[in-house]
Amino acid sequence: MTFIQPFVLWGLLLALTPLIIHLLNLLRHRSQPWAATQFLFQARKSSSRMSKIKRWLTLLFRILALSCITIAIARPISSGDFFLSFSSQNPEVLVCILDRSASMETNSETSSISKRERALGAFREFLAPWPESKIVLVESVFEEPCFIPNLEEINERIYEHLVEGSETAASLPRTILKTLNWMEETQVGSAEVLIASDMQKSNWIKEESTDLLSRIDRILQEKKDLWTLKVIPFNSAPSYNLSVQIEEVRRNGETLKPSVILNHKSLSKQSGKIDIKGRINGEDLPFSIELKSKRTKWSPEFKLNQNKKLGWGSIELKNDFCNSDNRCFFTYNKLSSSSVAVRASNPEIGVILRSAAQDKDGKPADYLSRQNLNGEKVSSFKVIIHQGEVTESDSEIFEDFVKNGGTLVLFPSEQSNPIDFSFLNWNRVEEEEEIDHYSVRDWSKENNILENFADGSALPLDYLSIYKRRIPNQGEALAYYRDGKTFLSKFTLGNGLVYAFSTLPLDSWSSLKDGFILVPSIQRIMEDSSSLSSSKGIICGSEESKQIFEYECIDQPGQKIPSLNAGIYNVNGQLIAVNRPNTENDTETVSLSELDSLLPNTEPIEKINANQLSSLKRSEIWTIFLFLCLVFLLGEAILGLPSKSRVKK
Amino acid sequence: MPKRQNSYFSYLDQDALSEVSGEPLLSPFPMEGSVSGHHRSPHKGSSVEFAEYREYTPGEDPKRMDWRVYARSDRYYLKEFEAETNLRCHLSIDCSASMNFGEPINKMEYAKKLGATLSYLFLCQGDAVGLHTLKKKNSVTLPAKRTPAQVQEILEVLGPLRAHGKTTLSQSLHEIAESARMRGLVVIISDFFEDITDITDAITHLRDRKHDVILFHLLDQSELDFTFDRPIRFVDLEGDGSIITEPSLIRDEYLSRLDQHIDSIRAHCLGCEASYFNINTSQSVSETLDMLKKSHRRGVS
Repeated sequence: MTFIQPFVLWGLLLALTPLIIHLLNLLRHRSQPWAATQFLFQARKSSSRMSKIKRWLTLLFRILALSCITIAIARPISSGDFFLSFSSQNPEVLVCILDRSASMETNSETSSISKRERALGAFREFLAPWPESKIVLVESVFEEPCFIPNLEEINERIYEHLVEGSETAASLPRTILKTLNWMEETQVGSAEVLIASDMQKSNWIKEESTDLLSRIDRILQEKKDLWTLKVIPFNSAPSYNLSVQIEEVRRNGETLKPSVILNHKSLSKQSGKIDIKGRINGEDLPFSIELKSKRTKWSPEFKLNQNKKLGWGSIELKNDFCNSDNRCFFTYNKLSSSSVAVRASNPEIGVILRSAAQDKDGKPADYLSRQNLNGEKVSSFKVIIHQGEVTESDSEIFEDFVKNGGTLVLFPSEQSNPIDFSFLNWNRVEEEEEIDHYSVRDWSKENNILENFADGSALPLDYLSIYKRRIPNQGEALAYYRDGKTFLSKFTLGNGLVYAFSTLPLDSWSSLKDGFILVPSIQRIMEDSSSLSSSKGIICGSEESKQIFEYECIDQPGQKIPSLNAGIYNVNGQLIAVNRPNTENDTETVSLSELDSLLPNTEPIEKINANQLSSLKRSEIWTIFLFLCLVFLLGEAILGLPSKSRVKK
Repeated sequence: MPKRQNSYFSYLDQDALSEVSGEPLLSPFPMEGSVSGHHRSPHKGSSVEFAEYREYTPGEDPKRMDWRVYARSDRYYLKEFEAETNLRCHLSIDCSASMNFGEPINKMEYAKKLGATLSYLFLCQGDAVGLHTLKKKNSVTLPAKRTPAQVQEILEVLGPLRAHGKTTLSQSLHEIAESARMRGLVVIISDFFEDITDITDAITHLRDRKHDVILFHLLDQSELDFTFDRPIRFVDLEGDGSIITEPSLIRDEYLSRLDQHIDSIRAHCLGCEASYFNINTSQSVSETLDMLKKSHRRGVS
């Protein structure tokens, strides 16, 4: 039993008033000289037991009557169909929060109905007991509360864009918080909030979730007597599912090589070869691939038409239990030479690096002077090679450059304590005698800038002599010193890459200046950056996708919108590949107990099954307490009646 | 005349005297008096009231022989007449502390008024009146006299009389019963808040000694109603402790007990031919004496 106005329960203290008055009266008795005390003693002796019982019963009835009035004013609500309730209480607002992420399009193995459709069915059942309450639907893509006049209308065309399937991710904490904020702003009284979600962990637990959940917790705690939060978890997952995603697209001349990742949940059910349909500019290309592990990396080759400088493609799998993850899209642009800029504190190093980064025509790389160091100028390059000190503002410019897809190659400063980048720092300078120099022992020989040459021979990294070094602290090591420390590291920042060398191409530092390692490394970095398709790809449901208002769907004309559906869109003449977020492939889910621990001060969130929804009806039972109050008052009055013998007299 | 004496005369209820004084108050039982009066005597005398014929016994005074009966029957008979004598009234006033209760006039004051007025009435009809103040200490006993000055004497005693201490009613009544040599009238004015057995024993004792007994049972209106509405500490006037109680809860039982007590005394009085009057002190003395007069007049036995 809960109360709509729980603060009124403080009034229960008033129920003690009759007892207090009684005790005060006893304390405030007056003295009366009396002659016939012998009869008083006799009277009290013979009637004390009954009169005491009568007196305490009277007091008890008064206390109970006041308690009942107080409880009735506090408006108690029973959960479920309380057999004594005389009227049912409709919550003011029924809020349905729909997880509309791509993973909700998964079907169960026994049914062709998706989780989203089952969730909508559950909403209908949830809303049925309260026909008079206002219905608000909030879905996870646009997160805007929308009043729905009638349950049956939820499937009508006007609401289709709110309930149909999407290929987006979701942030349930953010959606819930937005909903609760809206409810606070609109001063919603009593409300039932039902969340239907597949409890995918990536949709619940994110970087910003801690703060959001704590705010949700606070609001729910404040409104715990008015608002209830219920979750219907649709976390059953099919035992088998195959999904596809594009990692990157590289173009070598007229050949396009997208890197495709194939994930599948159960290998046993999908062994052997699978058929994959590739599409390039609308032309279908069949492929067949054998799956060997749960995560398979595959790079199909598409031959491009000479005339087609811009284009698009897709990789599509056969239908399975979740169709939304069976396709991915990509676009490509014309090849462009990699524009490289060098910035170095030491002019000698600058010259060496510019020489190492010269293009195919033998033109050295541009020099990025301090005056030219601004966001606009920097963004015109694909690769920037930087050595030396950096200011905070420089660091921010370079960070933006990398996040927007640029490649940054960093060499340490000669200074002992320079200002490092915000995203990378080096250890202090380590020095070794010329005789006992540092040497590189091990490095990754495949698929990176230190990979073997085409004839299979390795880069002569072990011939490098290094006398001074500053070890970078971030990134994945591509090569190691003999003592296990990092020689070269690489890490991703936003859409771009950062390479960090640990030594300088100076005689006093290393033999890197000789060029047998430096030149191939720099050239390979430049080649990588130029082969990457410069075409833009965005995530379905992201803020960027929601900002696209004028578009034309290329792969399936007229049926899709970028904020909801993956596909190829022509936006102002530019082809954009919109893909579903990769996080939607995650199979990890959040349990209700985990959710409870994230909302520590909120009453345990009720987990309900879809078939329990009809028992959610809650009724107001204040009338019972009013009735009880009348009964107690009647009892008190009967006890106060004079006895028969007294009436006769 | 000193002012103090004048104030004592206020105990004589003028209204009662004017209403009751016309006709004598008569005892239904023969009384033994010293002089002629209004009351029947156990002895034959010379009044005009014929009593009986009795056969003449030699030696008796031939003066009272009825010669007409002798002429008709040739036998000697004496014609006897009722003797009428005065009575000795022993006025007994309970002076226990419980008599101090009552408003606007307490039972003690009422008893003084009733006693003084009765004394005056009896003295006026030639009866001797004595006074017994029934208290544990310093009790006063005035022997019965029929002199007019006895009123003064009685008022002198009643005037400063104060009620205090525990009751000694039954014990005092036994003493009166023992001390009164000649049968007389014993008037008891009390609230009779004593053990019922002791009271009935004392009344029986008095009746056994051939005394005519009149009981004036004085009760205050609040004692009869017991209308209190909040917790009260009732403090016993005779020092028998106190009791805190909710009056409404014990009212029925209290009234029942009081009624039972009154009924017991009344029933006992009826059984032993004593006169019982339950007096509410809110009624006037003249009303009380009117009740007495109706039961103690000529022709009523």
